[in-house]
Amino acid sequence: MGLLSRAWTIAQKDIVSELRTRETVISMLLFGFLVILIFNFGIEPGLREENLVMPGVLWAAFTFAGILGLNRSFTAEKENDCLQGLLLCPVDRSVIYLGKFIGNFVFTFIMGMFVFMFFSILYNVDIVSVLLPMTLIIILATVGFSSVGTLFSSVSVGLKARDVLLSILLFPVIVPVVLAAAKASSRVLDGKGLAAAGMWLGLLLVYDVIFLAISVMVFDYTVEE
Amino acid sequence: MTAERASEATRAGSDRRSLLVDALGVVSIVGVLVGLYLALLWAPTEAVMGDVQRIFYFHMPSAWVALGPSFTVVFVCSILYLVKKDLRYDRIAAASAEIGVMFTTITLVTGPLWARPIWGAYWTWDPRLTTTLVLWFIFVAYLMLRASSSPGHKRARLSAVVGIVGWVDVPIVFMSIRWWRTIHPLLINGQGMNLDSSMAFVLMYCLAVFSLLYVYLLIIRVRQEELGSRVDRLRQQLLMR
Amino acid sequence: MSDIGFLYAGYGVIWVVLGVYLFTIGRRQAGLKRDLERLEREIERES
Repeated sequence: MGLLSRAWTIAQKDIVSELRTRETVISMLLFGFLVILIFNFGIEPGLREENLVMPGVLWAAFTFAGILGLNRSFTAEKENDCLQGLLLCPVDRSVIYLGKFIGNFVFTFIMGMFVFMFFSILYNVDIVSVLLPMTLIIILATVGFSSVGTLFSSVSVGLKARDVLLSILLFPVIVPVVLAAAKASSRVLDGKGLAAAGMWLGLLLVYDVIFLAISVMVFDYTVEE
Repeated sequence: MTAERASEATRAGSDRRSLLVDALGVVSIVGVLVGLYLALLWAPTEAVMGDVQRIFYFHMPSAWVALGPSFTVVFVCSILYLVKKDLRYDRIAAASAEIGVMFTTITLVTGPLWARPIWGAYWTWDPRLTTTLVLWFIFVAYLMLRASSSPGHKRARLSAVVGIVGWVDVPIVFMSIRWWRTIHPLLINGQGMNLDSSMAFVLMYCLAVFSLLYVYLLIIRVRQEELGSRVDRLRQQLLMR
Repeated sequence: MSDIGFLYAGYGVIWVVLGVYLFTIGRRQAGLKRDLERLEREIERES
């Protein structure tokens, strides 16, 4: 069994158990929607400058809801002592990381797409014309977010105040992702097309590659016994 | 008898080293005071900005020491710890992060205090200052991580991971904010400061003195951490009986 | 605040931050010394 298929097996475990209860994804969705709603009330409706603020609101919602999902993914493991079981598997620790990463990626991506849909309805975005480019942006942002997110969840899982600590650790490191995603979305939603967002997509790609690689390399140290 | 004499010798040796460290401390503090005099009184008044510009002589070296040595040491020692598993590296990393956060705080407070009278706004989203702010958050989180775990190898491992990821992130953050700011017109254009040779001298001097101060603080903090582990060990020893 | 006021504030902050940091180091050192002496006395008593 190759590295990827082993990781996929671990991811499947998370995905299947989530399919049963759908708890995590639904909470993430609701929270994401609520953040957009709250931001909406904070900002004057029908502003001419609304276009400048919109993408920021979308990505703020994405980030907050994403953290919620990350918090729950490792907590479930800890509570049911699954972590020990996973660690006993005769696999390279990086496989465990990739498996958790893929699981987190799937949940966060689903949340991202749904939050984007909700956002589009509220802000009268022409979904059909921007769907493909936005999906690409959401994919790239989710990879960056989930890569460091999975790593830091593993770091904070055993500690007291782990939820707060995860947020404090993750938010600053995620700044380039949020920035690039917001700027790219802003271009796309303005109707300027994917090419105009090129530089930001490039940044996202670079970020994803660097931090996925680093996370795979150092994940081992977070679970060593 | 020989054991006693040996421990006496080591105590004498460490006393001599302590003397050197104390000397370093005195030199650094005096050096900073001299730097204060140079910055406030000796250096000529800047043509464009006036006397307020003098804050720069302490602001820039602070930023430099934080961005340069402090957090790079955290990065390097984090890697060294993960490779060698020697807690000494963890102690150096932790001390350096603490000192780095202190210098970063100084940078973040003096920056706006300089910007306000000159450019009329406390915060200008200048890429360097904004990256410094993110850097501050990253390493404060590092320190909070350490605070919420108990001393030992686990804390060292987790801190090392965060230290590595955090430091690698900084250049990327800087790049992304730089690009962000070049799209939108900057409120401020460049620094507009003219440095003549005596001003450059004061700047270099302060840079050197701050670096010295960093080294001194690092040494005393690391020794303090070592003392701390010795106390912990003795406590364990007592509990064992 | 006059311009010079900002200058004084800036340098003031630097000294305050440095001072507080050095003070916390000193306090921690005093505490550790106390603990060390107490522990060494305990160990001598036990042996």
